Amino acid sequence: MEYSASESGPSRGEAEGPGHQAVRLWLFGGLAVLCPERPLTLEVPPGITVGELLGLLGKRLGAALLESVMETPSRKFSICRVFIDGMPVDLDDRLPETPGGLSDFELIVLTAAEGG
Amino acid sequence: MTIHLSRREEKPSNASGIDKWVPSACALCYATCSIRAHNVDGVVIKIEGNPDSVVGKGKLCGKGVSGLMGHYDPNRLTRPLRRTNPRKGIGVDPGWKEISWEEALTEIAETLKRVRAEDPRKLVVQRTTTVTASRIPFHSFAAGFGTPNIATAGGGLHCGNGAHEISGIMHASWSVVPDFAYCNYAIYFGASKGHSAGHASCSNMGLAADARARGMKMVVVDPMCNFASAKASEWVPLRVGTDGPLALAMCNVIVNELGRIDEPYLQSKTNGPYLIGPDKRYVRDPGSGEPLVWDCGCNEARPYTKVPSASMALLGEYRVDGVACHPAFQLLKDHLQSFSPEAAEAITTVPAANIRRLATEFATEARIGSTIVIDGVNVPYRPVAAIAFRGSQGHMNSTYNFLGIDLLNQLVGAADVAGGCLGFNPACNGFPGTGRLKYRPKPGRDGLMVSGTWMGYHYPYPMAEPRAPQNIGLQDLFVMGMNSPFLASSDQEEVWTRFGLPYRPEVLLNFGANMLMSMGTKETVAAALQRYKLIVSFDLFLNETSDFVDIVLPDCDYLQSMDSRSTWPFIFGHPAGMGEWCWGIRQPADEPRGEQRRFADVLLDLADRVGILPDVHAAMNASLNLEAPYRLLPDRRYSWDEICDAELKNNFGEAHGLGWFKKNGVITWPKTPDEPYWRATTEARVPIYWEFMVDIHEKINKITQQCGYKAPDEYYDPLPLFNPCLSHECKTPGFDFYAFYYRDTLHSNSYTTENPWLDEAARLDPYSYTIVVNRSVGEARGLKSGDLIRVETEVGRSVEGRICLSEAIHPEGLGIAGLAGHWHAGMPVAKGKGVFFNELLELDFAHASPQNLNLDLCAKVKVTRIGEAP
Repeated sequence: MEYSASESGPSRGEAEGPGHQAVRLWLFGGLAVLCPERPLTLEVPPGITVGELLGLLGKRLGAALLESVMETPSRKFSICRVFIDGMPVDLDDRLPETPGGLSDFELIVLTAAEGG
Repeated sequence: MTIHLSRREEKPSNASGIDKWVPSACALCYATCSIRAHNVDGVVIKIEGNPDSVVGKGKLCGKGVSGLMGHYDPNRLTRPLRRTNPRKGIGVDPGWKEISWEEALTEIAETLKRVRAEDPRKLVVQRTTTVTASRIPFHSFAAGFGTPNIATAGGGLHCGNGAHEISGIMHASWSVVPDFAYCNYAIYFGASKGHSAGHASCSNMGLAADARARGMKMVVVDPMCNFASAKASEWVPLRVGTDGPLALAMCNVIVNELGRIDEPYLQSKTNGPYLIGPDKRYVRDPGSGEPLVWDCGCNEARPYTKVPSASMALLGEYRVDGVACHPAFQLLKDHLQSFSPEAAEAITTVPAANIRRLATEFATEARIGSTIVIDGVNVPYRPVAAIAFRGSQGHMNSTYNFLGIDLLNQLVGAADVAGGCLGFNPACNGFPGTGRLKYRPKPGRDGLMVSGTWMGYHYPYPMAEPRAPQNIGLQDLFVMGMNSPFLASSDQEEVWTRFGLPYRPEVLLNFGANMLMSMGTKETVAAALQRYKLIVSFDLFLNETSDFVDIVLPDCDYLQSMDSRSTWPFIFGHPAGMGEWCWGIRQPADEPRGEQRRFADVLLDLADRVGILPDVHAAMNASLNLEAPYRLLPDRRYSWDEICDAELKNNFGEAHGLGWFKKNGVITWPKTPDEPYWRATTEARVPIYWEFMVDIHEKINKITQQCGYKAPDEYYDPLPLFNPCLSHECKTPGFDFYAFYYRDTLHSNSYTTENPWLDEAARLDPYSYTIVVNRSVGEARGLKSGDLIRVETEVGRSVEGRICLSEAIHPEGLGIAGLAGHWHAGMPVAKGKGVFFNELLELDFAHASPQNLNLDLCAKVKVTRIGEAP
């Protein structure tokens, strides 16, 4: 059961700028409602942080996305989980360089607390 | 590593079938004790505790051993049902018609697809607290669907908005318990850990009994002398809902009269040294933004990270940039002076002399400064614990009641050290074979403690940022709230309109919760349920809530179900203190009957039909922390068993998958002292001064000012106050009893009342199905045990039942065992037994704490005799 992105996803597009890399974005749950295209491929500058990537995503998909994932401009909701290539990451983590390949960036907002 | 096995024993029987003992897990309450179920020729004939597991320690309570009676109840549902009568009401026949699973799931999926396209927040997912294992499947379904609206009906609403929040902030855990193995003096406030159902129930019963036999003194503060009090050294009766002032008066005695505090602990493990300015906020270093402390070594204010804790001032007044400021502890010390034992006596009815004695005993027994060697490790030793739970926190003053009680531990350094008040396993070094399941509290914003793990995703600290409501419970505005009454309040539409909720719920997906009985007065809940366009409910029986359900799905019970994490998480239901870690599974001991299906597989099927299976898989990957190669693929269809297998291998290695656990039941490994007694070696502080309340208060008011609402100041002070219940302010002549409910140890929530064995035991018990009033008070009014009485609130809500006069209740109290009084034909054993207490509870904004939304669980009532004893 190894996680690997679907081969049927969009192929890697041309880089938008020198050294840009492509990231495959998987938005799940309520975020998927905001972006029916899954995965979405985005060209990003090399070495950007997860927070910066979320900012780019917000510009692409609109304010509703950032309102769903960011508690403040500098802090995401604790119930928002981000993974790169299956590993959990935080806002300050940088995207890995993936020569010749794509990084899979997953984003989901989980549910809130319960009692008992 | 030591692995103990509880093997699945299987041998041919004398008859034609099989004879096997199946290691599994109970689900008659959320303690989820490990069991062994004996199946002979396809019939479960006995259930007993699993001695190979520390979750239950081989013991099983009366509910657990009676489980097979519920399992074989002929009233169990076996076919999906759809209502034919569109009219919904209490006692109105839905006109049930049997339908196929295909019909049921097709209709549900079509509606869910429409709702998700419109606004996924219109779905509300609700489940009973009893089956802990339902959490991951239902939470993942909700997250995959995209709704934030998760609820746990009355079981959650009544249970722990204060208890879990403060246990999280102060102990990094879901709840607290004495360190039974080493504690010498435990004081319980409205709690029954070790004497009833609940977290680590059977384990704690054994531990508590051993502690009492060893000589641990146990004091129980409670309006009623029942499950914990009856086994205590001393029962301290008090007026309902006044636990906070009692605890704060004890704190006052300890600090201001005895002066017995653990200064090194307060300096190094709390925010007691942080300087507080006249605006009630931290005085911060302009450069780093860190809170300042007064460094007694160099006589100046410096950031807390730059000063040895022993040099931090706890007392005094200082000036920073010309502005007067005080250490937080000084403010607490001054604040406590308003809670004199004499003032507390007037509020609680506990004599001032007793308050002083209890405080003195607690401070003396704490042995401040002592250490003990455990497993070769020298650790701090404070053999006292003050614990609390639902009874004391189920009021308007929920947060402050619990905080006041926990301050007792903090003042003497008895928090998460040997013998003290322990969170349920806040730190775990992980499974030795894989390193998985490792977590530990850590310092967060301003050096205050952040839990290493949290059960509900929303961490108790740092507090969330208040925002305009997106959740029907308004917890995202009132961020200290976990469970909310607005799912069914009488004024929900008014509340939603006032605070600007941008949508309205349409579909309720319910798992086993009987909302009509568990939340509050039934007419109010009924009106809320009538507003849904579709209600789907997974149930074992038809019950009172079924009268409002559109489609009923026949569920498997715990003896027919599979779950890979029946004891998870360790902060919830695993015994605290030294001993062993234990992870057990639940597995079927019997087959489904008729068309019963396991809820987890049904949810996966439904997710596939709605088109959200990849989303649900993503939620499970995140929730279960699955890593390669065990992460779930987005588009592959898994059975629930396969997901359980993935989780177990992810945590315990490839060799310990579902097959291994089916055979062996549980896996265990030893704890080390730095796990239960993590506090001394963890660089995190806890807040004895809740500075963050100032900020939260301002932000809530900024959001709500446009609708004319201002959160009351007295609920957002950084230091604990006493805010009375509405019942305390009722002065109407004739209404002179404080009605409260208690959790009967014979029953869990509302559904075990259908169990014939438990019902028989409850009928033999003089209290379970009656209304308990103090004997002297009752006799003075001419009442005698067995009389039929009516109990009525000021607004005319009433219940009727037989009275039981007893010395074991406070003179002002009126006690009723919770969640009896069924009236639905679907549970014929339970029908007509006992008293439905929740009928007396108002469900509205006025009866919810404006701090954490906790419902006020008491009512001022009058008593009228309406019939003689038979």
